[in-house]
Amino acid sequence: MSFANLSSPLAFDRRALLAVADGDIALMRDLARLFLVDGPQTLGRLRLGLAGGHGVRVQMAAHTLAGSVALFGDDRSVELARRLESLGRRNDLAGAEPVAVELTAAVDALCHSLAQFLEDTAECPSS
Amino acid sequence: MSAAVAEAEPGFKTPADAAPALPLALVVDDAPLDRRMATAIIEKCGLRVECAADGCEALAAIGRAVPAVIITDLQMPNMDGLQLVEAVRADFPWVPVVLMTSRGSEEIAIAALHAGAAHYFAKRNLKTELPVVLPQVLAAARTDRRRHELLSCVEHVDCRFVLDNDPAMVPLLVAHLQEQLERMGLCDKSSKIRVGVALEEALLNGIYHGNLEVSSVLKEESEGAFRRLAEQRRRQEPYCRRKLSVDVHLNTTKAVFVIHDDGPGFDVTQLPDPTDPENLLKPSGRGLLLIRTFMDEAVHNAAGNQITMMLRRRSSPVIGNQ
Repeated sequence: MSFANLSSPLAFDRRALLAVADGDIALMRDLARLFLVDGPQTLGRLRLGLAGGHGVRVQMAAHTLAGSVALFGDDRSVELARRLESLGRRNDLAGAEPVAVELTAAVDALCHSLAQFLEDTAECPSS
Repeated sequence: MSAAVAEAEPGFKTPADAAPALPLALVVDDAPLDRRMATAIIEKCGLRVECAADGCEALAAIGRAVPAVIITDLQMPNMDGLQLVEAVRADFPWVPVVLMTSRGSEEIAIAALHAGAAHYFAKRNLKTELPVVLPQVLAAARTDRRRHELLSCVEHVDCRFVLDNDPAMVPLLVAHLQEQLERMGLCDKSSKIRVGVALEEALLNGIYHGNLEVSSVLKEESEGAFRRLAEQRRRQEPYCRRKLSVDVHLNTTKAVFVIHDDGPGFDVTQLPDPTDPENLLKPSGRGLLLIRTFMDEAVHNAAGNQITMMLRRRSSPVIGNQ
């Protein structure tokens, strides 16, 4: 299957992920499936931390998210997660809510793109 | 690896699937995507991989199968990377731990390196750096493990150390002897500390009270005055010429330490009874109490300038006459 022929407006850089996964589409699919489960869960932990005013929880969840979204070349989500990580570390959550809202939207878009990617590559062999 | 982690990680190879001859790497990270990426890269390096989501899961995995190398994240819930490094260094010192660092974890990374981590790389460079770091660390660990195995074959050691009156040398000698005792199976991790305390007390007694003739009464009155006088005498005749000799005889059943100072000695019959609770808090008797408690035997010569201590090998972790 020609990966270059896959074309749809996506929230992540397929070529970046292809490079990270060393051309291994099965691995890319694994990573996409994992994020579809883990991304929203981590986001949920971040929102809980925010609601409870727990800077450390916000920091840890944002740290995990930043690492995960970086794999997909989603620079905007990385930036938002890093900002939340920094706010959490300083336990300065006053301005965190709008950033979290924006990150939630970005992660939703990424999940949508990843689901699309899995559909597009459904015929590729699994690992 | 927990069942939950196995389920969440497509493509994970269980030990039963993998060739048993391949060395095992343990990947520790709370982020499933990072675990999966690291697994893919390490498998390409020719290792089997097991995964854990935090330090607690990692220790449980190590309990089931000791890996050849551990690759760990730093910021994790329950038990972080630093705590994991400390635990591994304490119980599996020959297993190298490699740190995956990321932005925001610089301080904990430095602490973990000080605690004994073997190497580190930036997580963002996982794909390029891990295949370089892994063979380096494995080769170094292999050499270290073989050396450890060789030294564990030692059955008999006789040696003598002759020290000047420098108290700073004492912890170094004690650490060396503790390592030797542990390697020969004469003490375990818990009793090692107690034996170390006894050795340190005996060595410092020989330096301060034996060679330098600084009284423990002065120590009771003023620790500062005690230290100043000791420092002064280290450079004065006749004290500065005196040496502390330490004869060590180790075999597979017992350890004997003979510590001899060149001082005038003392009347051992005048020592306060260290087993009398009345004397428990007196500095003059405390060292001897610890020595007699932590060693199986401890006797002075008639002149009072030599102590012979004996420690028997025992299966129980408790050492001494408690």
